[in-house]
Amino acid sequence: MGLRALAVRGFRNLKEQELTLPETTVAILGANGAGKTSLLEAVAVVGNLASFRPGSPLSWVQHGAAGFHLAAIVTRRELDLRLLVVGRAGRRLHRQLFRGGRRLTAAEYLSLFPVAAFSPADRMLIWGGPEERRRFLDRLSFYLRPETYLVLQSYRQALRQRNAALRRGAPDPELEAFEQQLAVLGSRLLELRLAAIALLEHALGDELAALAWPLSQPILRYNDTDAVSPGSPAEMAGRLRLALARSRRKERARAHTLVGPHRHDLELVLAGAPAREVISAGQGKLLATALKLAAMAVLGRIRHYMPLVVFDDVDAELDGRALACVLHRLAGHGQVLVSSAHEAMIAPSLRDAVVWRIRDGLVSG
Amino acid sequence: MIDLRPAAVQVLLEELEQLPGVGPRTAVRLAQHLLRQPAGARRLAAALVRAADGVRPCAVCFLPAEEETCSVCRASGRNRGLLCVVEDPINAWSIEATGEFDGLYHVLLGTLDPLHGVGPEQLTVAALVDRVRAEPVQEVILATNPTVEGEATAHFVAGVLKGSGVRVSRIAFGLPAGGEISFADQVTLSRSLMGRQRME
Repeated sequence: MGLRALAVRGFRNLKEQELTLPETTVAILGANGAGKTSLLEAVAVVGNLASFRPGSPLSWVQHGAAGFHLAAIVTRRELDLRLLVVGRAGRRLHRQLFRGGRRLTAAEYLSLFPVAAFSPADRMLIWGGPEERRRFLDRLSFYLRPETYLVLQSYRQALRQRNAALRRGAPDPELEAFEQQLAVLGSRLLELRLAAIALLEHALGDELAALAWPLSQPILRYNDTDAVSPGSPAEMAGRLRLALARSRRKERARAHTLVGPHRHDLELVLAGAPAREVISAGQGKLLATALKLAAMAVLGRIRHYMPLVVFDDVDAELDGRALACVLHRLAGHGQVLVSSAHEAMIAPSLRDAVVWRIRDGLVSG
Repeated sequence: MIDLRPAAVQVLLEELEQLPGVGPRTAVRLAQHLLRQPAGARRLAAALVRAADGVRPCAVCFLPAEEETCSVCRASGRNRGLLCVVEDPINAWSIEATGEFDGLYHVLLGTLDPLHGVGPEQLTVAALVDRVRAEPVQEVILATNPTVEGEATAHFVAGVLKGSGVRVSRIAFGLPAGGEISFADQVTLSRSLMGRQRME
């Protein structure tokens, strides 16, 4: 799987341009604000319909533009796929997705060209809130089992409905109707997440070793405060239903559902303590990178995905040795796009890379 | 700038835009079509007036009817022990078109939808309970859609009917006949696998 060509219009600070990409590593170099991150972000949006940079998708639209076009030619199993993402600015971003001339739903589109996106924001996997780790886990679950997308969407809809029922003071039987849905969908979501964690933990050791991780291997612990797991889907659904029923009184006061997978967390535990409490900034970046590499390895092994890698600001927070390990690990991967503002730092480890320089939003070879 | 559209056309466009799925452009296309065929427009207007004045929900099952009760409720030879509960009349029409169902219907006129302020009191659940008590119903088939709201409504209705002595069943879900497995979504496929049946 690889990105052969990318055409950009109206996206962030990038000038309108068409790019042809090599199949190897590309080092994108430029000063701060030159457009390095925007270019990698465009690739991530074409692949994942999501950016690695926090913020609203509306911010993808260039200042003063009505919308953006991202067109890509992707090679997949010797076939050329023509993908197009059109964004139109309104109160929110209106998105249209096409493969060839055919319009696709997000669920249909998302598995066509997965992009493994690494960036300084990955630190949020360690120091951010549970929602960051849930998002990471659910994305991995989706690529392992595409059913995750619809399960998650339905779960969120059932959650919105139950919260609305709580707000309007609905009697118990009405709440129970949506609790049944939450229990069935939530237990399926738990099953998908737990399966993903087992695979992730298995692959994490190899990735930490490749990055010369100096500490012991963190334990990945699924923290369901409502103690729904482990168990069979029917057992977990039963426990979740019970937890929802027990929590009803408290939830009526807050008009919000307080138990279920939308409140769970993937904890990283090191020597009995949360990893975020015992590691340095550089180690945090290394651990987050290892987690993402492990997810990539799992997908490679299970689904035979070889996603394109984008790595924004690759040298941020890493010392020379750690940076060399990361770049060495990515060297054999296939198509990799890394960005940096410090050419001297990454040059020794990227001798074979194609260099693109970017200035004022325009790439030059 | 002068608005070239006569007042009658403006009113027509405004009314057309109130219809679901009709935006300003579609409204203009429909209006153009109607204005080019005055006879057809009059027939449509007459059909609309007849439907608006003459059609009301059946007093028993809430299917649209031109009399006090609908043709299904009045028909002899239907299985009165079997009741199929649907969200909307359109679902009943589809089930009836299969020719496989000879029971009676009950239209809920929607689903539980707290986000839009719809609770059981806005549906015809109470009338369903009354029917089950008063009529010789043996089985209620819950044929609401397999959406979050449809499933929740089915669960709610099943709860309300608990203890009434009737058998309550849920319509099965799986692959569409004549379709291809490769075109089915993951949830449908998963449900088909879970609901697999032994080959006799």
